[in-house]
Amino acid sequence: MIGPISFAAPAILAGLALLPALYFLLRATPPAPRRQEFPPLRLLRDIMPTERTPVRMPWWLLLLRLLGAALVIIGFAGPQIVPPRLLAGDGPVLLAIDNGWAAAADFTARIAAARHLVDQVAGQRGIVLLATAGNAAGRPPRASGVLGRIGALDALGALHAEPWPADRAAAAAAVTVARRRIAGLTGVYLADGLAAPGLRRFLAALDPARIIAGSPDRIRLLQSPKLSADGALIARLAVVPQQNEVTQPVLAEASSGAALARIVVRIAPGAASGAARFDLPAALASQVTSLALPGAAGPGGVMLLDGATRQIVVGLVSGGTANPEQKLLGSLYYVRRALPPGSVVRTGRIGPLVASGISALILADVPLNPADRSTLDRFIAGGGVVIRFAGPLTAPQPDTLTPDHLLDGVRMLGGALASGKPERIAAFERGGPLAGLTPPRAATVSRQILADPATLDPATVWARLSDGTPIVLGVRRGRGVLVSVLTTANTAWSNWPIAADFPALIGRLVRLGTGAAPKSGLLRPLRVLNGIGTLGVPGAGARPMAVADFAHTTVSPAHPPGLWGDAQGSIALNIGGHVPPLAAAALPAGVPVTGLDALPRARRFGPPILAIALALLLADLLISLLLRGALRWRAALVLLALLSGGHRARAATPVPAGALAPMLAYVRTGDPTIDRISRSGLGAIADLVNQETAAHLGAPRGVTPGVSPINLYPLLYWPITGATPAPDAKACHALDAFMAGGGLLVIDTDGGGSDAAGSGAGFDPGADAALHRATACLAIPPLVALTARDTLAHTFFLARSFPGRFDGAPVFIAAKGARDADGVSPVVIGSNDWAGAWAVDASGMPVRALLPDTPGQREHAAWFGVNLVMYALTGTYKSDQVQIPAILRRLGQ
Amino acid sequence: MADHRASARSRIAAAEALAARLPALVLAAQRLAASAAPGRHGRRRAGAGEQFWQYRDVRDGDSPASIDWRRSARGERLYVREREWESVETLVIDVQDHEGMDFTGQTNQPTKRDRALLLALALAALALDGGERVALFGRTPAFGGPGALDRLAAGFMLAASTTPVAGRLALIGDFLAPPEAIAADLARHGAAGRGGVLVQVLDGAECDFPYRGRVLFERRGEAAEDIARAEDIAAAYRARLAAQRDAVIGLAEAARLVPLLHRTDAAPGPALAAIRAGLEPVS
Repeated sequence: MIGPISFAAPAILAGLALLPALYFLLRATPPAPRRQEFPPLRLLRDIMPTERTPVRMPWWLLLLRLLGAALVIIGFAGPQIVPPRLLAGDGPVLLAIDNGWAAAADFTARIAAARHLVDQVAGQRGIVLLATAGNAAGRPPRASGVLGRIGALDALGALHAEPWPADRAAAAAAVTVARRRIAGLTGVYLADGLAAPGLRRFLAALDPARIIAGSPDRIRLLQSPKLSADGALIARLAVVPQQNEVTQPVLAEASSGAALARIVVRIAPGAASGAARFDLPAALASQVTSLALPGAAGPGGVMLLDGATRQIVVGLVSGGTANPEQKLLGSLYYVRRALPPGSVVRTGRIGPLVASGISALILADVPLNPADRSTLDRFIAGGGVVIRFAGPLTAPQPDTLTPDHLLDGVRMLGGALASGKPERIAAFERGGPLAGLTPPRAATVSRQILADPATLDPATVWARLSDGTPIVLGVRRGRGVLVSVLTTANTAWSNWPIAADFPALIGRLVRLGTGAAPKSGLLRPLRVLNGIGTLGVPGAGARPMAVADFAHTTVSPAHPPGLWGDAQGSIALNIGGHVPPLAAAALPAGVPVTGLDALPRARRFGPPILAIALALLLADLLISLLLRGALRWRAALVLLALLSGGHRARAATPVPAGALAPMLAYVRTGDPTIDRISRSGLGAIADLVNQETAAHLGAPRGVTPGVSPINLYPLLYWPITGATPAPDAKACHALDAFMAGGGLLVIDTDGGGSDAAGSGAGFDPGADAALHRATACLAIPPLVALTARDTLAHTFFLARSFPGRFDGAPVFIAAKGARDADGVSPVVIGSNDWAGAWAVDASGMPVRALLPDTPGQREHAAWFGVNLVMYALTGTYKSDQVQIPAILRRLGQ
Repeated sequence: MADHRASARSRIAAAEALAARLPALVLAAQRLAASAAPGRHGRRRAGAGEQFWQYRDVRDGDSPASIDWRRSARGERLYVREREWESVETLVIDVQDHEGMDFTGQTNQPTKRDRALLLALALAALALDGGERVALFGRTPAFGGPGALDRLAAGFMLAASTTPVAGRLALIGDFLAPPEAIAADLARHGAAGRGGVLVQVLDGAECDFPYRGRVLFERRGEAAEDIARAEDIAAAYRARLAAQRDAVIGLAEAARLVPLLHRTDAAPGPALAAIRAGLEPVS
């Protein structure tokens, strides 16, 4: 030990005693001579009989070698600075580790600190481990026996964070038991730094000699999001109030785990929580199933969404020809106003509405044709909710898309020609999805359709009139729900729609498909979060809980966070909102507190010293070679340059890349995200082309028309967004020349205005204007819509549709007369955002979510991409085959 | 035995290397001779090139093979055809052939052997051009006339086998052997009184001794000499070389040979001219 420096293997230092011997040896050993053939050797005989002493080694070379040898010896001896011991005293150490949800975010650092501690003390003293959170089987914290170093490290390796708070009361009891069992325990506490009930008692029991605490400033807890009035999701994040502003990105994730959006929540200094809203298109917003913090944030960074916080998109359809929105009279007037705030409303025909990705569909007195019927069957089976209101159009001939068999005709209650009086809504069936709603007092029904009492299944009755007649029928089919309200949606047959709690009914009904929250009975855990924030099966310790207890329950091994529910639906139990508010723990004064990464570590100097010694010996080798003349100075310098890595190849003269291998190109927009999607999308298509066809394409290139040469590329992809400016004259000229010279210009927008065709409607309202602006100066030929009969639809794959990220928008190519001499269109214009569907990330996973994500949409998009490339490369070569059937037929005659 | 075979193999390899170089050497020699010839060598004597000397009667002890039967058949007597075996017009060239001749101090310079062969062939070309006959000592008979140069060049490949031919001597070599050995060699050539030149071809490094530092000087078959600081012995070496040179000059003059020195780092043209001049009959 020299001052603070000690040696790992001091015995090796004895080797330093050999240095003087080495000195004499080196001095005595002459450098190896250079050999020279010499014919007049005879003349050299005995030329200097006295001078036989070899040349002395230069003193500096001798010094270099001695220094190298000394450094090797010192390096292997392993000099190090070892910090002073962390814990005084002897006897076993009781290491209590917080492994509740708050410890999950920095759990790796926590375990590393614990390992470090074990390395320091376990050798002499033994370790007793205590994890302060109960485990998933419901077992409360329990101290281990006295472990050796290996046993303690094994136990630490098996330790993991739990998705519930640490149970300090049970941990305090465990400490008491351990102290009684093992005498002389020194307590060390690896705390999560959060205030918690029972912490004071626990600290009193543990009486820690040292506390190693993670900073509570790092803890993030997602709170239940809210829906704004316009339906946007508002993420809320809680932290321990701190001095600096907190900025934390939050991701909105789909059920597949794909991130649909990312926002940043800012929390002002001193504030305990902050919020930020996700501005997502309605169709995407309805796909959000959870919020998450990026990185390993643990279960506190995951917020599962249930139906209550998921945005819903409702389609409204009315039968008949009257204006459904007419004030006070229209068939949809009241329903539209009864929808829950924040829901998105679409109207139109059944087919397009279902295709646009709605979650519930309300049909007000709509007779169905067979095509609509099958569309609705598929929609319900896939998780959709269909709510049908009766009315004069459907009453005469009820169809079969009803929960139960309906009689034709209308039951009149009251009125001039009828007996009886309008009936009140009496009750919502217990156990049904509407259970718990208050029956409207004033609402009466004067006309209704009747369910066939002969075949009526009582389970389908969700609500009855006061005379016991069913008024709401409902049934679950597949993953969806079909509901029939046996009266009208306006006030024609009933005054229910103007009752004060009609919105509650509608709200309950439209949420049935997205996972309605059970309103009564016991909840069972369906899928629960684990300590790293992913969903899994519940542990043995999970216990059912009553719906009534849900709101004020605290997550624990018995009630783990996750999705809870029953057959009726599910509800999310998250850590946020079900643990005490976040606050920094008050740690006892007088106990030394260390940060997780502030544990003093040994600093070892052996490796750098050995590296220096190696460099010295290498230099010695070079110098000896030089002195012997085996190496010339110039060669030595080159060798030195090579060794030091200073040799750098000079760049060759640049050749335009497109000249060497065909490659696709895209127009740079200046927006890094769009450019990245374009590059990635074209790259994926090029890979597919290389894999599937005989063509071999290089990596795609970004170009700027009018600045970089574009004539060499067979296909130029031009993504246009609302922000795309009009190209300047040079760019227009270059693009015109590109099209005239046989290139294929593919113009694409990322969706269109709300009135645009296809599922991209509303995604980029400015795109249409930008498209007109951008192509105004180009010599675009007359266009026609692309059909499946066109050459472009079968240049390689047989494409029937041409989807990208969106589907349904028409694709335009040059009209027959306006194509070039070979019949090839110089331009293809679409608004399906093809590159968005093609683009994949580094691991080959798609980057963007598709709409409406019909099965095979991404494959078809890629097929169309390959077709585009083959169209650009081979023109109408394939169109010859179009004639084959005709030729064969003629040959047969 | 193995050693012997190895040395035989290395000699064969050396001979092959030499054979590969010979055409180029012959060409270079012809070019060199052509540059040296004009104005110096115009005489062409009548009857030159005759090999025949006289017929004489058969004497006891003559082998039957030596009888010229064609001439004898024309008369009654048997004649022996005697050749002109001693002629002042015959130039006998000998190039020393030992491994030291393969030395060159710098890789871009010819070896001593190359330079010696070049000089020898150029000299032969000059002599042949002048109508004289040229032999390689101990290797070939005297040749003359067209094609003789190529036959002479090929003769360098032969081992010493034939009876030495009389004539003026041109001895080319490095003459670094001990003076006694050189004297014995000159005696073997029958140098005394024949006249001619002794050309000592030395490498520049042998003359200047440019070595520095510790050098292990070696030569095949001899013990190596480990010199600690080569620069310290340069002066002594040069003195010894001068002494050797003086000894060679003395031996040459005693044998009536004109001593000449040629360094391989000098141009061969002036050396050839000097040799040519040294071969002029001392009348």
